[in-house]
Amino acid sequence: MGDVDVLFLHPSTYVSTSDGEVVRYVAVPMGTFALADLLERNGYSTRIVHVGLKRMLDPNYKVENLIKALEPTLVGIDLHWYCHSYDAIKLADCVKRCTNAKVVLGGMTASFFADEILSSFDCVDYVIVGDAELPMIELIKALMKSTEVSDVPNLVYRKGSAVKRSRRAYLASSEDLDKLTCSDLKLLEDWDLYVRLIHENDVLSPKLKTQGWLMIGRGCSVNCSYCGGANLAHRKIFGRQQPIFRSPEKVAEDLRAFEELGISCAYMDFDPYTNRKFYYKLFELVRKEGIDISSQFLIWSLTDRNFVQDLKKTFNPLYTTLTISPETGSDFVRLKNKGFYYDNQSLLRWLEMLEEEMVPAELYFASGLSGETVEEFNKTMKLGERILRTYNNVVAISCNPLFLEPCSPRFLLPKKYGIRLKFRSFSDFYKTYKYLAEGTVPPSRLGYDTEYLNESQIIELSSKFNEVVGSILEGENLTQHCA
Amino acid sequence: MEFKIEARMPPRLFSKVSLVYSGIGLRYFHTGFIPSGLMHLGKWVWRFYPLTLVRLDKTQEQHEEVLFSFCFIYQSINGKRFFVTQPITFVDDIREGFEFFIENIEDFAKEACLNGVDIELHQVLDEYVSYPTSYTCISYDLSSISCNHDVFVEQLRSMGYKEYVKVWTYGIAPLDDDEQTVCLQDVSPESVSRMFIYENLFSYRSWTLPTLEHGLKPFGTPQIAKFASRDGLTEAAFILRPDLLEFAKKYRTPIPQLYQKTLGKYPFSNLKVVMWLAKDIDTLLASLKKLIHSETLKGFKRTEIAGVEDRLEEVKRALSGVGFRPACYTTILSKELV
Ligand code: SF4
Repeated sequence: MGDVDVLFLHPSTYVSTSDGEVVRYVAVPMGTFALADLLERNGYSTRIVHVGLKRMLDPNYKVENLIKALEPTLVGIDLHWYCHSYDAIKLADCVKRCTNAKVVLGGMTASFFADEILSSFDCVDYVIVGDAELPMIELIKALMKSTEVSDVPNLVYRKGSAVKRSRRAYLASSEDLDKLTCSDLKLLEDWDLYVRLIHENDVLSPKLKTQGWLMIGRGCSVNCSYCGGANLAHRKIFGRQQPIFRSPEKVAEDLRAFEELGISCAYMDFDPYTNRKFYYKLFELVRKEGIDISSQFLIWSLTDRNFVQDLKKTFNPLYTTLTISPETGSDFVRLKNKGFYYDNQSLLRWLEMLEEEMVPAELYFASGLSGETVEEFNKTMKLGERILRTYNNVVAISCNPLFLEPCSPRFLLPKKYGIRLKFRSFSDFYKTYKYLAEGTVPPSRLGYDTEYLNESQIIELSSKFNEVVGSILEGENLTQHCA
Repeated sequence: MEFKIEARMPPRLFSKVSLVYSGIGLRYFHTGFIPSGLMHLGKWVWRFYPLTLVRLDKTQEQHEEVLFSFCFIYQSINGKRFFVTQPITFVDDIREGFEFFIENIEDFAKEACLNGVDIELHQVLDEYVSYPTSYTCISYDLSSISCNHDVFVEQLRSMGYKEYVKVWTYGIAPLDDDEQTVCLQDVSPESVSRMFIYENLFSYRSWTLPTLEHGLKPFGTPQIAKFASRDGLTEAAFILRPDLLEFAKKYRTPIPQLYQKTLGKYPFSNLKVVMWLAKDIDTLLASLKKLIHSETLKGFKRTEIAGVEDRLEEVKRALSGVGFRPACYTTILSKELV
């Protein structure tokens, strides 16, 4: 028996560049913290190690040494985001080389490709498909008692050379989520560095804010064409028909814990209903309890003024922003791709209202949307420029090429969305990130062409947008301060 | 007791004291990272260091924020240096922590091969000091904090720091014009700045942070720039700024300049002469009187003049003579590291 029962490893994504290795996508899914805490409370010792952070601190870091020293019974590797496809498997392989520990993967990407992963990679013993709380407890219990795992809910496992699925299913309810604590970041080694870097990849740059992701609920009520976390994906992977929320009391508890950890800004990215009834309750609680923290609130649809005023009086204004992703400057393209639709005029009116209410906004656009031509993208360029020149309270604006997300509507229904898929299986994602980690150019980065644009055009359009925005901001800085 | 320094600016700071950030990258501030840096010895170094001193209680696994200071690297006339703005304290007993804080800053500055460390400390003498309260890009509402000027000065002296400069700010309520002979003319702020940098015919001038790098000194639109002339000859020049702290407090924002529409209509009460130069003291006084009188007519109730160096005894005497009262003074203490 080793020092910990369950070791959670977060893979990170390595990209080799001319300047050496860069670690990308630093964030750890909040579910990992909840799982580690849940296991601890059920009597199992756990540890979370962020392999990417370790390598940032020490380029010679070897995770093997830690695994050998801890001798865990089970190693959990999150494969929620597709960008970790290669590094998650590489880690699993590393575990197998140095211990007899069992390896379990979880998260949306692992869930969606569970069968293929287990058929192709011997280093992975199990995949938990969908919600993992009860399955994780039952899995470690079975392993510690050396009993059969076939009864563990949501488990996909190997029996001989066959890949099998457990017959038992588990779908977390709001009540189940309320039993979780998602704010014990101290379970992660180097957590204090993590909260500084969660959105940045540079250890050395001094940040004003520290950030923690808040777990508010699961699911979505709509289907954006490009989103791997859309309603369709939740139905298919989890069996969840509609979004569920934790209780405002539990979320407020996590906010309090964040404040006590010195986290200055809560990243709040769960907004599946336009009425936002949940948030009015939560905000009232936060105010009542005097929790002093900022919020980067990502809205999925436009809000009314009431909501903005309520947000403003609840959170510390230092880092509080409202973040929205209009994705495009073309109403036609937005209608075709976004689950929550609004036109440009409504967006501009909303920004105007934000300016009046003195709330800063962050905006994100994308290239590679369905139905987008170069001409339509020019509308994105124009809208971005106009917004930047009109609203000083827009504090961030950028454009990124869309990557193909597993289980997104366009992945599942490429014809409907005018997409030509280049990635169809897990191995396509795996190989792409392997190429990037090794410093070679993958045949495809985004995983698709659209009916009007090829990959390089899609990438080029985003760069053009960011160049224009960059030069406006640079000019602004110079003129602002020359007096 | 164990301490550590973390690069972050706690939200608690903003709950404790209203502040205005007016440096480079105004838009970036809220996102939590100001992407500004400079080349130093062939390497890229980051510009801003928001430093929080934390006291650790290992037995209870707790930490407590003790002190915060917004710091930056700048190119001064004395080489590249580390500038430490007024430390804001969260606890009463700060001596032990402050020494640790400064020692660590010195170690950092030495490692980065910087020439020295400068520390700005304020001593408040009046009820209120208007924006900018600092000679840098971060200004605090000094009436809501305790600056601990004398405690810090004493401690820094014992650590080898010497006074580099002491600068006064004076304030006055409405002032009579009594028919001054100078003529005021609106000009661009750039023309005053240019005159400030290149013109050395003016014997009297305000003290500013000795750097030409942009985005480190206080800034704030709207701003007023004036030339004062006699017989067609420019004899004095001024840049004035309304009190952004009033706005910051009312609307709870650290960056009023992101809201120009509301800012443009805001009825400010206080105004500050932040940059000035004059051929002689008579001209300075005559122009100031005229200036304050005309701004009073526009609704300003109080005017301050900053940047009065302690050594300018005649200016200080003259200001007192017409009714200006000291609002605060700022001491900058320095230590050379090479
Ligand atoms: S609103 Fe759209 S992008 Fe956001 S989670 Fe739902 S489907 Fe995904």
